[in-house]
Amino acid sequence: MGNITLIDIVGSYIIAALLFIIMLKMDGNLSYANFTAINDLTVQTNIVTAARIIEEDFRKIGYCEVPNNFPDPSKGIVAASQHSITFITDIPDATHPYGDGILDTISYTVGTAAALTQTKNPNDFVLYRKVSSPSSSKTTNFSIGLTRFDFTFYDAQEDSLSFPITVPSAIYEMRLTMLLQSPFAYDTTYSYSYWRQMRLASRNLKAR
Amino acid sequence: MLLSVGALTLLMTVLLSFYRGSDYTQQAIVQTKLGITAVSLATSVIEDASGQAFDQNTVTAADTALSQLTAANKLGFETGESYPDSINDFDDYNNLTYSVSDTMGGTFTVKCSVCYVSATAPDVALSTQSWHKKLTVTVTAPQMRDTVKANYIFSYWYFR
Repeated sequence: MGNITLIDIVGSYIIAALLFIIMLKMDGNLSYANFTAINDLTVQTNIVTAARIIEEDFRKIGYCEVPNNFPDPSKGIVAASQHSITFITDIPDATHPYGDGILDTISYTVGTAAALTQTKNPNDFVLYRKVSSPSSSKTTNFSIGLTRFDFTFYDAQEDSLSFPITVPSAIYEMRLTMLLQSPFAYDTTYSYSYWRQMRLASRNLKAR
Repeated sequence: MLLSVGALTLLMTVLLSFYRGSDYTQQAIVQTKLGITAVSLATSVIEDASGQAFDQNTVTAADTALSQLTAANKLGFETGESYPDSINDFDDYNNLTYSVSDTMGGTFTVKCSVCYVSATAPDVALSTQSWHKKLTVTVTAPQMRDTVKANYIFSYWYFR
């Protein structure tokens, strides 16, 4: 009888210890799952939002509501480098849903990773979108965990152009690669999302 | 002792349920991550295709009659053409299949098909020529549960 009680007590202690270890482990896993799920969701939402804005802008490279104001769409790209692009377009507004016929300039540039100190991630940088109209200029900063914003440019023969690009009008097609990482890591692991897209630089140039 | 074993069993049940739920969440995240890449690949193909000539016979000249266009059963590469170097018209993408290895993991298979459609019934493939061609791009990957499918209709309007 005494031995059985002793076994019961020892057994209960062992099971209690097991339960405790399992609970600790589960708590750790729960934290990890929650953290990465929220981070992943944030990163994916950010990359889709960024891609949507960029697609909307890039689709209209060389566009003008009044074609005679910009007759040669092949000159839509003003400057291009591996991490930046400047192009001419016609931005719509509330009163002119298809643009006002006055040419605007949009620039996408990136900052340095060292300049972005608000996040723990040492690799991310800010994406700047500057819209310049004859009457105004506005810069929007996207601090969305961007860690890669790389362009590859191709000519009409689909040969890649080497940097620096001295003749932007030679660009017919471009590939944009974006990689976003979460601003915070779980241990040292950052959530990430990836976007790589080919896009025509001058839709009107060859489409027929 | 029995109570402890009962408690352990209960905990195991809770644990199993938790890890199953966590697994579903992770799978959903991975699926959307793959989906984003697949959408970018499908859009890339459409962008590329929309920059090509409408038909092999409009690469260097203008067509004015439907009979001048490539026959519906001949859509695809012309003799001697191959992907990607010698693609020069929209229907070269018909029956085109290739794989893309994503540097972040995963190999995607891109399949394209092109058919003639009418402006009034763009979902129905025609067996004769029309001024509208529809490109369907499907992107799959072994890890993806679902297929990303994108359509694009290219119309020949420029010279008419």
